[in-house]
Amino acid sequence: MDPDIETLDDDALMVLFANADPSAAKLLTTRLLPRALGHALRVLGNEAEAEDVAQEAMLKLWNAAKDWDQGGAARPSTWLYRVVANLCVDRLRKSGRSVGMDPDFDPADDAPGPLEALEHSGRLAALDGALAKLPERQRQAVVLRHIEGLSNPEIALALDIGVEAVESLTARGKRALAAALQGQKEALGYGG
Amino acid sequence: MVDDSKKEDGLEMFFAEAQADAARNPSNDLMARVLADAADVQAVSLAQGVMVMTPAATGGGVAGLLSAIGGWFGASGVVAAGLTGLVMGFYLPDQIDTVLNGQVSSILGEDAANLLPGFETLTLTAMAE
Repeated sequence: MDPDIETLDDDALMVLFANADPSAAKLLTTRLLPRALGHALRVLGNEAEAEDVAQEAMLKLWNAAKDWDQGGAARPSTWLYRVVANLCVDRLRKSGRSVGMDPDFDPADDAPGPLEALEHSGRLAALDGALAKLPERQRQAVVLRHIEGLSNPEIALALDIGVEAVESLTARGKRALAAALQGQKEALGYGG
Repeated sequence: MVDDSKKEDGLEMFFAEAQADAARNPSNDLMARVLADAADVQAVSLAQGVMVMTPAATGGGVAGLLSAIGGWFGASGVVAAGLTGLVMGFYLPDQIDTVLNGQVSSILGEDAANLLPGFETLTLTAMAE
C-alpha cells in the first residue's frame, strides 16, 4: 500500500473507493470496522450478531461511497455509527429485546492470566452488565459519548436526535450507571 | 449534600478502562467478508462503466496524483458531465497515446500541467463498450 494513501482522511478515501481503489477499501476497513464492531457488541451483547451488524453496516458504507459528499456534515465514522445504531435497534426490536444482553455473554470469558488482567476484565464486565440494564437509547448515547468519544453533535447525527436529547440521555444513563456501580467499586479494585 | 464528584470519578475510571477496549479486533473471517463485499461493490461499479483509475505501477507519488485528480474532477466537471466507460491508466510510456485527441488538455486548459503532475505521461484510453 502506498504510504501516501495512509495520510488521506476517511472522506478522501471514500472518493477513492468509489473510483475502484482497492487500497482505499482495505484502509477504510482497518480504520472503521473495529469501532463499528465494538459498538455493536456493546449494544447487542452477542458476538455473532455484532459481526453481522458490522458487516452489514460496512456494506451500506461501500454502497454509499459513489454518492459520498466529501464536504458533508457527517464524517464516514459518524455516518457508520448511525448505521450501526439503527441496525442494532432493528435487531433488538425484532428479537423483542429493548434492554439486556445475551445472558451468556461474558466479555471476560477469554481473559487470561495476571491479576491485573482479571481485575480489568472484571471491571469491564461490571460496566457492560450495568450498561445492559439501561434502555437502548441511553445505552447507545452513553457508549458513544464516554467510550467511543464522540461529541454531542456527532452523537445527535448518529442517533438522529437533537443535541439536547443527547445530553438528557447521557445524563440519565450516567445516573443509572453510577447507582449500579457505586457499590462495586471497592470489590473491583477501585477502592479508596 | 450528595457528593456527585465521587460518583463521576467512579464512572470515569470505568469509562477509561472501557475506552481502551472500545475497538474490537475483527476476526480474519470478518475482515475477509467485509473486503469481499467491498470488492463486489467495486466490481459492480466497474461493470456499470463508472470511471475507474489505476495508479501507476512504477514511479511517482500517489498522493500528488490523487490530489490532482480530485482537483481535476472539480475543475473539469467530468463527473458532472456523466462520462462513462472511461478508463484512465497512468503509465510511463515512451510516447503518449492520447485517444481523445487532446481533449484532456482542452478540458483542463492551461492548468493541465498544474492539475496533473506528470501530465505529459498521462495516457487516456477510452474503454470500448
